[in-house]
Amino acid sequence: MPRVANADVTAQPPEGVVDCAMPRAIVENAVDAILVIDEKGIVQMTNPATQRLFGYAQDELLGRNVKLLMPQPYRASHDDYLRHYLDTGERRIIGVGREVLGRRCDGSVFPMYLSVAEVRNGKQCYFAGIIHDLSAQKGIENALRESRRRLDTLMSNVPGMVYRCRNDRGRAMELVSEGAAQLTGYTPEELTREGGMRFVELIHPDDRESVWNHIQASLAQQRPFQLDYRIRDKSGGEKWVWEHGRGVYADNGGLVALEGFIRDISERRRTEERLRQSEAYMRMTLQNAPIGIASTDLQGRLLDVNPAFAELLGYESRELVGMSVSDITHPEDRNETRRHFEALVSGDISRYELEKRYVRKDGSAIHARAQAGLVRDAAGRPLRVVGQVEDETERREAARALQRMRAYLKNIIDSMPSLLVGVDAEGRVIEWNRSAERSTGIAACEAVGRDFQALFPELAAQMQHVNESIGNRRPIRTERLPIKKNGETRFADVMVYPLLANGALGAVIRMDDITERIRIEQMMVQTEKMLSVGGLAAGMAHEISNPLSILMQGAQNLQRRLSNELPANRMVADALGLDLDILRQYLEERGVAEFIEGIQEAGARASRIVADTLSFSRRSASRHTPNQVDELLETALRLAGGDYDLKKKYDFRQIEIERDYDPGLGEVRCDRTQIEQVILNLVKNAAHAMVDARTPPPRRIRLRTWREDGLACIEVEDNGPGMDEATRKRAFEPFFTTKEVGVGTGLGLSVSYFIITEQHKGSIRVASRKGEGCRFTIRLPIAGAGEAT
Amino acid sequence: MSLRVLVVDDEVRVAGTLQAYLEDEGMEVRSAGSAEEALALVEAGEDFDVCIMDMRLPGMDGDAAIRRLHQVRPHMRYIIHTGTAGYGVPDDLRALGIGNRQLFMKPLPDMAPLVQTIRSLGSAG
Repeated sequence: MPRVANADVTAQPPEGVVDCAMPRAIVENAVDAILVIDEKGIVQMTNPATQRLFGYAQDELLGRNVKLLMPQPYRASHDDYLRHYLDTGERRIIGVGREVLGRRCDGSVFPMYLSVAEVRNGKQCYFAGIIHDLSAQKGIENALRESRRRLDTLMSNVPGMVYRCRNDRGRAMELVSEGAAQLTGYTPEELTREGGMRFVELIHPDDRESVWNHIQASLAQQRPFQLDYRIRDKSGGEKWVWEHGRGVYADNGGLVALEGFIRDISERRRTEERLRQSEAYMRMTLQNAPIGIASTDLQGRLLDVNPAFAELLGYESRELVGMSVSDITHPEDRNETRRHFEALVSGDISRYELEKRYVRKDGSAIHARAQAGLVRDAAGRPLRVVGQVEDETERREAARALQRMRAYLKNIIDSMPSLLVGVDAEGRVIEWNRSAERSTGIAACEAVGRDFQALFPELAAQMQHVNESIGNRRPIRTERLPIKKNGETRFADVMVYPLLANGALGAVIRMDDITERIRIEQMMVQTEKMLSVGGLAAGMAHEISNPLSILMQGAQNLQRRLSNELPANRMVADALGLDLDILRQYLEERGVAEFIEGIQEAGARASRIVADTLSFSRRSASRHTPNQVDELLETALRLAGGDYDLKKKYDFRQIEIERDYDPGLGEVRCDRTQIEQVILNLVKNAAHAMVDARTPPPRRIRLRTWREDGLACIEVEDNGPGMDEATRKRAFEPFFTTKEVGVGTGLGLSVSYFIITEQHKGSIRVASRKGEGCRFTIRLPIAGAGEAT
Repeated sequence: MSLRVLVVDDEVRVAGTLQAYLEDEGMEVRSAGSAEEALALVEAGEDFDVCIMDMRLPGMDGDAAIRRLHQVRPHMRYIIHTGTAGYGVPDDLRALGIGNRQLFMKPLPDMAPLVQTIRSLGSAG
């Protein structure tokens, strides 16, 4: 049967396909799309649902190949499919139905369920397709699948392991997330397969029991559990984990499984440990800090104090907490403290430092240095104030002690009799002590900073020693350096020593004027000499005294036996017929008497020398007896008055004797005759000098005594010609004399010096100037020289 | 009756000059060169008013000689004439009446004071 022409077939189904009203209504109102095609695939009929589903109008579909409604690859294979079916009868859809894809008018593709029925109308074969739109159903499935995929993604990306396991000691895992591999080193497969690694074996042996107990206890109360414990991963590394889980219960209330989550908290534990250590360190530091540390709230109330702070203020730490800064601040310093504190809290200043006084619990005040700073929270808001307090009392005390020590050292340097000059390596003066000021007449403030050589040309050569001394790090000593100054030669010991401490480069030049010492040394050498002379003389005195005796006694006999007065002479002369008067004339004419006198005088002089020399021999102080000083002086004056020479040649009575005795001086232990000898010697010298120099009257000798520091002082002063410098210096030298040859022995003053210094441990000094008289001062220990001499 | 004086000195010329001077003063003088010689003289019967004794002598010294002589001639008086520096009269001799007045140090520039002392001692004896 030829197929009906397209033109006249509108909505009419092919004849014989649908020809009753009820099926037609069904087709028209079906929710599913129904369309009929012929064996070539040409659309013969559609229903309204088809038009709705595919978006085509009916006339756009009728007569068209059904391929129009198919996306590729269905479209391409549809013709072959139909032919294949018609040729072989082999079906794929027909009578079966399957899910395929449809294509809408706008090109969009959607899932549909297609079932096809074969309709035979005679030889003509038609196919009726019933199409159910699967779009909505497919959407739900897709959403479900997507949700699962997302969950999988989430679980595998979670840092940690999501699990489900049985609640037994083995904790064999039923399900674990991908994170297991990262956490434990085992893949999910290794953990979940039958006979695989049981989770309990990963838990640190020491923690297994406590983990089990904790979980069971939580389950017993039907509560979720949370706990930290250690595991060992596959590589043996230890990790801290945090587990959060709960029991899963069936509808009947039975426990089915455990589900939960385990994550690695090693890093957190390490951080916590570091924080703990840091806090412990801070606490230790605070506890043991030698300075006081305290924190206060923003109102200045103490929140926390360390032991040093409490100790500083004499409180117990707990007593201080809650007190205010003002409570422990000295009333006079409270305003200033408050001002600083408020400025700090308000943010005007970031910190402050204050010297202030605190009041201790016992009420005493202490000086301290306080420093404070503000602690802010993470948001930068002021949180509290932290302060440090250092006891200044000790520092002030130390500063005072330092000041005292400086003054003391300065005093030591300035009080030194030595001249002391400190110079740097360039020779500039750094230190200049008072002796240096006195010696040069240049004040320290003028000297410091100037060139040493310019200030001290006499010691310019010492600069070389300064450099040498710094270089060798050794002191250099120059002894008895002669220094010409104002026409006088003085002697000095100069010591240059490098300053080695504290890396300072420089040196100290120390100079001691030893001129006096050298003089005393020379005197001592002389004294020693005289002592040996004295010792020798004592030994020789007996031997010398005999020849002198023969000499002088012989001369005396000679003189007497040549005179004409002695009766024995006359008797002998008469017997011999000698005229004694003529003999006398002869002797006179020949000057014999003078020769005899000469012999006598020479003998007398020699005996005096021997006697003086003998004075140098040491004598025992045990012969020293207490003597009134003024009596000694009077005896000496009486002896002087009775001295033949003084009486005849020096007219002693014409000299005024002035006495100025200290009535309270009392007795001195001494050798009476020796001291008398000394005084007599001084008095005689004075008389000799005044007469020899023809000092115009009034000639005066003044004797004065006084007491001074346990010493009896005796002064013998004249208004004679005095001595020049050279004479004065040599006055006590043995055999030094200003008198004519033969007049003195040259030993008088040296004997006196010896008696006073050696035998009596006293001193004798002379002060004199040419033309201004002479003054000898003797000082004797009142208690005497003691037994030893 | 002139005073009899014994001079004891080992130096013959010292003794000689003293003897000459004292004889010129009219005294009867004998000299001895040692303590032993002086003792021998006295023990032989010689007698003296005053003895001038040197202290440092060969053999027996002056101190010992005076003690011995005193036993023989208790009335004899002594003058010590010595050249020894720092000589002090021993206590036992002081007990015999020998004081500082009887101590003469050599050399004597003038013998007149010695004569005076001899005279006063001799007249007292």
